Amino acid sequence: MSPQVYLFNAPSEAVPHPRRNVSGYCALTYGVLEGLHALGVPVRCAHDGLCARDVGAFDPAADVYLVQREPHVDTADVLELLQRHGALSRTVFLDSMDRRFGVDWFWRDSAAAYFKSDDGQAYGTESLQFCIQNRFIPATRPEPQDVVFFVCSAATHPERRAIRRVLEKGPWNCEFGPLVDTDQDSRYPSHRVGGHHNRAYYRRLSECRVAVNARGGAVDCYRYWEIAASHAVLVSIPVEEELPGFRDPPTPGVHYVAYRSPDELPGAIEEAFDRYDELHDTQREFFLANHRSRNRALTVLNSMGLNVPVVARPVEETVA
Amino acid sequence: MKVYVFNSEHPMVRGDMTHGAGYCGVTACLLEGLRQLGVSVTAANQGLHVRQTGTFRADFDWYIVQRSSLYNHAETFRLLERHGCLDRTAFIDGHDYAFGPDFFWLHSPATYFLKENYGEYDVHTMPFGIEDRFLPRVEASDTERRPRVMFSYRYETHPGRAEIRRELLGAGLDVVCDWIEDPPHKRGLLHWQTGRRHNEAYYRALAACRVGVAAEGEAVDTLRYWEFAASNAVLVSPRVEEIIADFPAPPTPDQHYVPYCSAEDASVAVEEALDRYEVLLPQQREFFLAHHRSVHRARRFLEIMKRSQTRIGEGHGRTEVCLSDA
Repeated sequence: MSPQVYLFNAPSEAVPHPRRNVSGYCALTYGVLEGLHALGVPVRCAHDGLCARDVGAFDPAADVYLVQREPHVDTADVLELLQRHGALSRTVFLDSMDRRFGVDWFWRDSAAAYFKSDDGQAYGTESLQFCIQNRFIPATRPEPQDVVFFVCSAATHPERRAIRRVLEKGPWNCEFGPLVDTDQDSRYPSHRVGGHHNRAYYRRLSECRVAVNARGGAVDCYRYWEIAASHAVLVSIPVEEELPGFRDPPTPGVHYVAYRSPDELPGAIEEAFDRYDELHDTQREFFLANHRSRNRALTVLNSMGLNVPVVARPVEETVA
Repeated sequence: MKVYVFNSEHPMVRGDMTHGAGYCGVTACLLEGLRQLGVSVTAANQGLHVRQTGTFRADFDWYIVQRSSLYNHAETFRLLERHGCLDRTAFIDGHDYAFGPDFFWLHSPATYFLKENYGEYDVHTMPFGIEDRFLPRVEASDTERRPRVMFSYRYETHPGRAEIRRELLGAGLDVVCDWIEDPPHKRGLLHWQTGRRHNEAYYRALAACRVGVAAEGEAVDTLRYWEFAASNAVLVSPRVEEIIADFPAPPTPDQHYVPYCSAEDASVAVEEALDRYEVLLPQQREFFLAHHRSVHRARRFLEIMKRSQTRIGEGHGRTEVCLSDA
């Protein structure tokens, strides 16, 4: 019999703020949620949101509770509620905040299991990286172009500017963006994915042979997983080395091409172009087998001692 | 009066100056002010404005807990709870809005002080203030102080900053907008104690400006605002006192600073500040130095703590989140 899961998610609508909008979207939570759906596990959510199919009040009889960390949502109340029902040992706290947010110490010290996407082991928590959500997977394979894709916000890490300079000086055709969708073009309203879904972005990514992932506000960032699922060969810092506890780590040179500093980038890009056909196949085979949303959902369920058989289900949503 | 501070361990102690800083501008300002009022402060860790460190005891009059992402204040919470000290505790949250409040402390009997208070929560406002180190040490001569505008920022923290820079430069103003940093060999202890926010080269450049434009970043209450208010440059700023709820001793626009509402307004506001420099500067400095120095923050802190203590004594304490078996 399938376990019953209750998710304390944040409302996907923007959290009201007098100065700027804040989205309740958390890629870690929604990755797990999508994966639970893929495994056929019923999930009731506290709030409407991406992948939330059943929204309802707290269920004290659930087998597992998931709590999403969101700085503007009161999870102290949630901890107290679960404690009152003796449910903390059946609870998983999902924290996808970047390094500067540290951990939520109250949850970390509680009886709940604590999973963190970035730098989790530095705080004595379990690591659980972002993953490939179905919407990252291209529905079609366009004819690849000899273009290096590097579309990201330069503001979040100084190394991104250095990488951009290396790419601009190099002999390659590069795509730097910006690639912008309007809500009307996107399958998802922007606030549901925190502004992180962009059809034009995904389309262009899969037309390129090579895409570069760089450190941002966190080492574990969406770009890595978006590229891993695309038809572009992933050129990346070795995320699995920088985040101890990375589950099912890829092998540099086999599943992606690694660089450790901007100086190493030109050689890595050349290697990715030279070995495109081989790397494209091994990358996709590896990442789609080990790092999709259902893999994350299994990790969470297994941590609660629940073994759920893997049910092969077709991809439900892909990028058109 | 004896106060114990659970401050964050300073990276200088750990020898790791690259991974976060123990500095909190609100706590630092408060500690400087308490010291100036003659309050005996014992701190858990070495740091800026700390004269004495020691271990926790339950007989202090007040406890201060500095919010830090890197410091386990859940442990501190339980320690204070165990010793019945939470109602004598102040939680100092100097974080920007993105971090949200710490809901566990918010629900506790502790008194919650928040820098970036938009009036959403039951907290007391404690903005940054003017630390002594912001005060100009060398007066620039009139010939050195040109009609120059200080607008040196990290522009990525708010899109409005880049717009304002474009507007100021487009208006033909002499704007200092490059990032100013001390060279490595000149970065002293204070540089590291303030999480790399103390910068002599920047203060020197500010001393040669007649106007400083404060702009929203990840917060509305920024250190720049207070640095300009204390300087010999006229402060041009959004109406921070209207945005931050319960802003203590609010300044009067056009009297103590020049307000602007949007990037398009900024250059006009700067022109006004330059035109009225001789009138505005003495008013600004008189006002801000009379109401917003570290000693004023310390007085406000003590008044609120005394009021909170009285309310708790009368049975008006907040709902306690009990974590004893967590």
